[in-house]
This record gives sequence, structure tokens and C-alpha cells, in this order.
Amino acid sequence: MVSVDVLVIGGGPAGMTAAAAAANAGLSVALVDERPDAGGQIYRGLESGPFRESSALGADYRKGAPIIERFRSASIATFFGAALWRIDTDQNGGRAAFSCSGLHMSISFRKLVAATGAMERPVPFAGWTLPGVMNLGAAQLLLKSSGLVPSGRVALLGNGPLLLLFAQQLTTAGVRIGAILDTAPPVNKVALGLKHVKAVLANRKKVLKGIGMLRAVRQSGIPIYKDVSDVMALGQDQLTELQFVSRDYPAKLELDLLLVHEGVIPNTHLSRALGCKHVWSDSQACFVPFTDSRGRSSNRNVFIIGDGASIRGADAAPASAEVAVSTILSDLDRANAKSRKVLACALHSLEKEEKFRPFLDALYPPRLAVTRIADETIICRCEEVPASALREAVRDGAIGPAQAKAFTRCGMGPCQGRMCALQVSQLLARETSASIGDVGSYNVRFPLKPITLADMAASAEPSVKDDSHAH
Amino acid sequence: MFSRLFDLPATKLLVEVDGRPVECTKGDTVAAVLLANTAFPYRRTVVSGAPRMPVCMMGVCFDCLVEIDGIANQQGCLRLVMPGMKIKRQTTVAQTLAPSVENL
Repeated sequence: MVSVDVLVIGGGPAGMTAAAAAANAGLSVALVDERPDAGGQIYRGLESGPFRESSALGADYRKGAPIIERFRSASIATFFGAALWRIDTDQNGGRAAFSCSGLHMSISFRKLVAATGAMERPVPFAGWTLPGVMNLGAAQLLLKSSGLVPSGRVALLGNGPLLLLFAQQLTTAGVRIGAILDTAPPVNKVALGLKHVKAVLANRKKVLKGIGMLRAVRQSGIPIYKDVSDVMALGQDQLTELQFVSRDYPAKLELDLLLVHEGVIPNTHLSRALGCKHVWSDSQACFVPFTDSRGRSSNRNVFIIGDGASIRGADAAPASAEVAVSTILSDLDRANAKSRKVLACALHSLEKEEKFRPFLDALYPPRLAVTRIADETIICRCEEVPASALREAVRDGAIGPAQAKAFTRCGMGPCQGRMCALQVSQLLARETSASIGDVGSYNVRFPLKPITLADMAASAEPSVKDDSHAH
Repeated sequence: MFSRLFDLPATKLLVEVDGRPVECTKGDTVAAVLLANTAFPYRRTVVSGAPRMPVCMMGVCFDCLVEIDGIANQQGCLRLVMPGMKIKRQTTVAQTLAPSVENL
């Protein structure tokens, strides 16, 4: 079995930085990612996509280039396109099993760095399973990796910086957006800015970029519906119409494609499967893995960094990686003057980014995703379980996510609860009048990916394989 | 629903979707190729046969499942196209294939 000091899961800005920093400090490092190339979601396509040498997607996209370059020039064993399906940990580290390019791999490690990034917050509403309803970030990934742009009658629904950025990117590319449906509750932006005045002043560049995006969207002439709620997607086999309420007035639009976005949440599937402790974050309205100020989880050999730890954005991700790797170096008695200097510097920039986040969280809170889900709306897309079935399960005595799952099959489909977990916890908390932190979330079980029995058999330890049956 | 911003480069790549040849380019994912060519529906669910299309394009939603080179239930958003790749949409409704309980 291959053995490394540090195994990094995820090749976005956090994972790439962690792998490069650890390798450059002399540690043996492997990195595993399910995507075909480096960059994560934020820098998707920057290595080999249609915008790799273009500035059309904006200056922030180009920030990934030096991170990728540093990563690619470091001595790291990389496994892209890998299906990671199991990790076991013990007091000395652990062992990961995955298949990659048809090969079954097993790697043991002393320290695990989980840089699993963010996912878009699932936003269930009536008709959200119809073809034609898609996450906005998904459409942006199609642009970054394949140069695909939405066509036909297109609307953007939700709120947040990514929605504004994508509206600007599409406008620049000459794509017509039919409407923006803004779900952010009306807030006084100036008053909010004053309340977070220190964070705003420390992050002037980001604020100016935001104001620029708001202005660009306003000047583009795209019709904007404000204060949108009560959304219903209609259509026989695919989306044809959207009904909604804007500022208390009912409205409707004929549509081919609806792109939905109410922010991002940490992708905690792996950290949950590892048994790491998770806590509820009120300000980000999601569960986050518990980590200390150095990125260490409740398992002392597991570090969680980047947006997988809490949503802090692409600029914070490399800093959180440097902090974790410096700490790993001191764990392994490899700390030196340089690593201590890097740590101090990274802690400083992480603090600056973390200060800004509460302002953004207050400016762009989720709305549709946190309102009561109508009985007939599907919550579990895989098993097609509606909210009514979960409410019935509660009446039948299901008090936690595990029971609700057993009663209804909610969360038992191919996505293994990735898409419904947060909604199930929210619904149970509401129905049982319990705090969502106490309700908790699903237990996640291995395998993390659908794999063949051959994959599973091939990853077994040789000592397990030659058993007594051979005689 | 989606169209290409740029013309396909001279170095096109050919894959098979449900037996028909489809042009795409290196770096496309299987899901992107199906969306760019409006294969409808992208898939049907095994529970009710409802039509679906990919939601997240980042490996989370599993609504992009397709058969690739004979192996079913592959996440189309995570797989790059390869020359000659045989892609099959999973649009058969399970109930119509499975014997009903009464017939067993």
C-alpha cells in the first residue's frame, strides 16, 4: 500500500494550496479529486477550458492561475477523476480507498486534509424537479468548462454575489437574460454597511467589486423583480412557466430555463462519514464541521479547510490551507522559522476574510430555502419523497433524521442525502419545535460513491484476501 | 436550453449518444454534451419515471446519471468525453421492465 504523510481530498484553491505547501516543506503528499482536473469549482476550466487565456470571466477567475501553477510544480501524487469511497481513521492517521482510471487504490496517511469545498444550497419549491430548473452555479460551470451559455427564455432566481457575477458574465458574453427574480428580503444596504463598517473598510476592494456588479446588472436593462416569494414552476414534462409573488403582487413568466441560487453551504458529506463533530451555524444557516482556529476537526488527524469548513470564499481558502499545513508541520515536529512566519501571515489574512463574511451573510440571506416547504413539494429528489411524507413520519414518532429516513426512504437514493439533508433537518426542527442543532443531520455511511463489488474487493488488504478458504 | 458560445474547434471529438454520432470537444463532460444537444429528457427517474436533468454539475445531485460504455449510473457531470465513448440515456422506466408482484 502507498503511504504518505498528508492526503488531501479536493483540488480547489484550498486543497491545491495545502498539497503544495506540505510538499514544498518536504512532506510526502497525495491529492485525490473526483473532477477531471485541478481548480475546484471556482477555477473550473482554468487549466484547460475555453477561458484559460481569457479575461472575459473577470479578474477574480485569473487569481487561480498562480495557485494551479504552484500546485502543478510541486512534488505531489495526484489522482484526478477518482471515486473516493471510503476512509478509515485511527490514532496514527488512516487509510483511504478509491478507484481511479480503472485502478483500485489504497493510500495510508498520517494526516488527512479535507478540502471538499462548497455546494449550492438546495432550494426546493413546487416544480423544482422539472427539467429546465437548474442551479445557477451549475450553469456557470458549463460556461467555464465548455463555453455553454443558457439560451431561450432564461431567468435567474435567488440572491447573492454569484448570481450578480453570473448575470454580469452572461451580459458580457452577449447572452440575453429575461428576468432576475431577487429573493433577498428588502434591506437597507447603507445601514447594514454602517453596522459592519470595520469589515467593509478592511475589504474595500470586495465592496467596490460588489457595487460594480450591482450597477452593471442595473444598467444591463434586465427586468428585476424584487422581494420574490411563493415560487411555483409549472410544466408538463419540462419547465414552461413560473408563477411567483413579487412585492405582494402575483406575477408569472414563460420560461425555458430557471437558474436558482441562494448561496452556498459546506459540502460535509465526507466529514460526516468520518464521524467529525458538526455544529449549526446561525449566520450561515447550515451545519459546519467543528474546527479549531487551525482547521483541526474533532479528529486530531483530520483537518478541514476552505469552504468545506465554513463559507469564507476563494480568497480565504489558500490562507486556511497554509494555517492547517503549518499546524501539521508542528504536529510532525517539522515546524521551523519559515513555517511559523507563514502561519502568522495566513492567520492574519484569514481573519480579514472572516470579518467580511457576516456582512455578506446578512446582505444575502436565503429565503425560499428556509421557508416552510409545501406538503406536495418533493424534498428527496432521488426517492421522490414529498414534505407531507416527512410530516407524517414526524406524527408517527420520527424525531430525528435517521428515523425520518427509515420511515420514508428520504435520503436513501443515489445522492445519499446530499441534496435533502439540510431540508430534512429544517423540517424536523420546525415540526418538533426543537433547535436544529439538536435535531442534527443524517449519519453518512460508506461507500461515499456508487462503486462496483470488484472495486470494493480489489481494495481489500492482501492479508484479508488470502484467508483460509484457499486451503 | 444551452448553446455553445464558441464554434467547436477543428479538433472535434466524436461520441455516440443512444447510437447516434454526436460532435463535441475535448474537455466537455458527458453531461455538458447531452445538455448542448438537448437530448430530452436527460433521464427518467426509476421511482416514477419523471423526466429530469442535471441540477448541480458538481457531483452532488446525481440527477446526471447515464450509462457510459456499458456501465450504468455514472455521474455524467464528472466524466470527460473520450473519442468513441458510448453514452446511453437512462430513460427506461423501471416499472415497465420489472415483473409486477402479481406475476411472480
